[in-house]
Amino acid sequence: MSAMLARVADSLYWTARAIERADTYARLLEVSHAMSRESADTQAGDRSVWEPLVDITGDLEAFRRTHVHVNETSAVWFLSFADENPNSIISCITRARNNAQSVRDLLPTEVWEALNTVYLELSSWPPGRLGRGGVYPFSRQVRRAVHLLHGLVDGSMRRDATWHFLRLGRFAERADKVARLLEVKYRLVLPEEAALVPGTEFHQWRSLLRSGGADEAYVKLATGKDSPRELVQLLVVDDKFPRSIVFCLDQIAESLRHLVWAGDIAEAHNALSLVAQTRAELSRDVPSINGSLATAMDHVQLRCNQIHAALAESCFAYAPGYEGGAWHAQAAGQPQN
Amino acid sequence: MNATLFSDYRLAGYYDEMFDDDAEPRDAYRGLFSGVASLGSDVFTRKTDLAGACYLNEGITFSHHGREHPFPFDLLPRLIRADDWAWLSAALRQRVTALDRFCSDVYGAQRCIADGVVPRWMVVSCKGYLREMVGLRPPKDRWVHLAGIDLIRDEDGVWRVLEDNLRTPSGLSYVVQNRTFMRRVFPEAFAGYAVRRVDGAPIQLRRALMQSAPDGVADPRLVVLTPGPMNAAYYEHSFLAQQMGVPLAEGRDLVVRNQRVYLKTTAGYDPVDVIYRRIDDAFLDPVCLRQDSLLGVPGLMGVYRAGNVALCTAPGTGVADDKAMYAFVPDIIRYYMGEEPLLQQVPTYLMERPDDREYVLDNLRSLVVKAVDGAGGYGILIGPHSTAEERAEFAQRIDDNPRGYIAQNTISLSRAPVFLGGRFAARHIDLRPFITYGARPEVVPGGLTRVALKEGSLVVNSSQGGGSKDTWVLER
Repeated sequence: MSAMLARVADSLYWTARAIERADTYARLLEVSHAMSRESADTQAGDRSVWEPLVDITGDLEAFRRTHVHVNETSAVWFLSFADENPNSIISCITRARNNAQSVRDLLPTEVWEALNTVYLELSSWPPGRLGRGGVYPFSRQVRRAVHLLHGLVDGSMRRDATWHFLRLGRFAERADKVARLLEVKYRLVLPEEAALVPGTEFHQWRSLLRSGGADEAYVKLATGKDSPRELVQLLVVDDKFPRSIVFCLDQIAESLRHLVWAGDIAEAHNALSLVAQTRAELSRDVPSINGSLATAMDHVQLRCNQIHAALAESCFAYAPGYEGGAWHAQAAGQPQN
Repeated sequence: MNATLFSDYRLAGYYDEMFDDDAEPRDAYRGLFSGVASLGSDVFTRKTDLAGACYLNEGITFSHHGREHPFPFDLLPRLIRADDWAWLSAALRQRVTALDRFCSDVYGAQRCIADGVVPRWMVVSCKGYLREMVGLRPPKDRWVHLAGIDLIRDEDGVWRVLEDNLRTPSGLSYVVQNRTFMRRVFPEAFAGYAVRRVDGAPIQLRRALMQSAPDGVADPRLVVLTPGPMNAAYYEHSFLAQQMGVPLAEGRDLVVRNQRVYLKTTAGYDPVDVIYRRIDDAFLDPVCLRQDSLLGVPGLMGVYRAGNVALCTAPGTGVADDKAMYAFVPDIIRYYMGEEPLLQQVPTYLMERPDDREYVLDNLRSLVVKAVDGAGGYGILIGPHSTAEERAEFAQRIDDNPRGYIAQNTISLSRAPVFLGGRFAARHIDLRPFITYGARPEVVPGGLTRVALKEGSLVVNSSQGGGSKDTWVLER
């Protein structure tokens, strides 16, 4: 068996990233919605919940181009169904589905079917339902679909290059988003980078855990002191927790080593040394909640970008599609009698 | 024929696939009829909806005017008796073998022209005639690797060829998937029937393609070349690549270096030996053919000429499936095979022959007129269903460009029951069997039965609102 098409590897990687992103945003929406229920002051809620939410996605600037106020209605819409937001859940699912369609010869039929089904279901969601029924049913449907996809991918696919490129995308996305989440929430809770007084903003920290899908794992580990230190441990350096940054880095490293070993990508890969470097940095200086966390998380995001760039340069290099309608028109116009 | 589901069913003088002239089910259909007749309309409706959901979830859709539609599927299978099939297979092998040899001759020695079988003007005026292929001999001298021959049955149940599709015949994926969904939603229909399996069709195609690799290649590397997801048949391209276990490539994934074709992979460049291409001849190579092609591979024809890659189907085979060349196919079969053609054709008039043209222009109301390079049911005049205005327009078009049109007698295609609006109604159908050709021609034991869903319509193309049926070739 010879190596995979560069374009196909790229599509697989982005399919997985888009799926993971939809899952992250669905979870964020759900947690934010729950938090804002308990906040009596709507304006304070907008500032403490909805604005940081849009900020976490990194699309606050884009948001401000089309919306004046960040509030529940506008933020929920922007992250769920907004076509103009390339990172809204519907855009992610659509992109994942279209990407998967271009590589569906490599995906198990059931994986494609699950992706196509959630795409068709979400496409037919009545827009008013989010306002009426809350975000929970929507978020739940997205997250279930993603779990189903992960289950099918892990349960039915051979551990070949196809599977490894999917895993690379999934964990590259996750590492990046966990770092982003920690950075934004940290700045929000401690705007002056002052020392954290345990307990005062505990509500925020717990919601952060829920956003990271780490709530229950944390409760099991916590010694009862509810110290944010353990929270950082869990989300950043716990190599047994599948949503920690270090866990993600280990998965990425393992897939890269497999690909090198199987001859699917070149040896002495830049991405591999970058991953090892990042992991070492995190384990050496476990970021402390007092002061260094935001900087450290900013650095992790920078590293994630570098890892991605290294992959793009070495294995995703192929001629891009041609711009404009001529290419599409030619492709569409090929007779298939 | 007294079950409620068939209460409105009328034979109306057409040849019916399921019922004989006395409205009794034909032998082969008896078990199926009694099974179906015992079902309620609601059960059949539910099953039909379930089948529709299967197609939509799989993403098996056909785009029509820019929108995606699921391919309509009728649950009552079309049966073909084992003895009928044995005869049809032999007839199809004969036809495809002759067409393959004809391509080889046209671009080679041109004996058929010298011997007066086909006039030179006829050959060189074909839209599908490719001058760049003259003198070029493809690997194994194989030209036609996959053919889809459209067959119909007339008023008397006689099989006739309607047209040949040699370039990029589409539908093999539907043959396989119709059966898959049939088993899923209507398993009880199979009771008492031994049906030939069709799920080996992609492997059969792969075998034919591998056998057509350049000489001396021990373990040929095969790819499917697609125009990309924008193409209406993209589902089929991805399905065939997946089922054959080979990469699905776009033009931009391939590159030519030192007279070889390579795939751009994550690890570098991988040589390619056989390309099953689903893009048009003219778009294959912007250096040699259409310069504005964004779908092809620069330098591909040079590699082909050097004998280092097989293109399947070979460029230039359009000369053999041209709708006017069709009129010469019986003679082509006699010439190359030294035997009588087994399959009947539809009587065809060539507009470049003055007598033919005069007759056609006088009888447009009763004839079918087709553009020779038309496909997908476009550019057709069905005389009996036409308006005076349409006939005037086609008369003008024929006058302007006689080589561009042919006319044929209108054939009343056979009909079969189709479940529509809670009842079975009779609709016209055809059959597209598929023939793979590597070392020798082999017929896929099944085919795509296409249905004209509009009442009375004779046009079965999916782009014209057609649907399909699973086609069962019986073991005995």
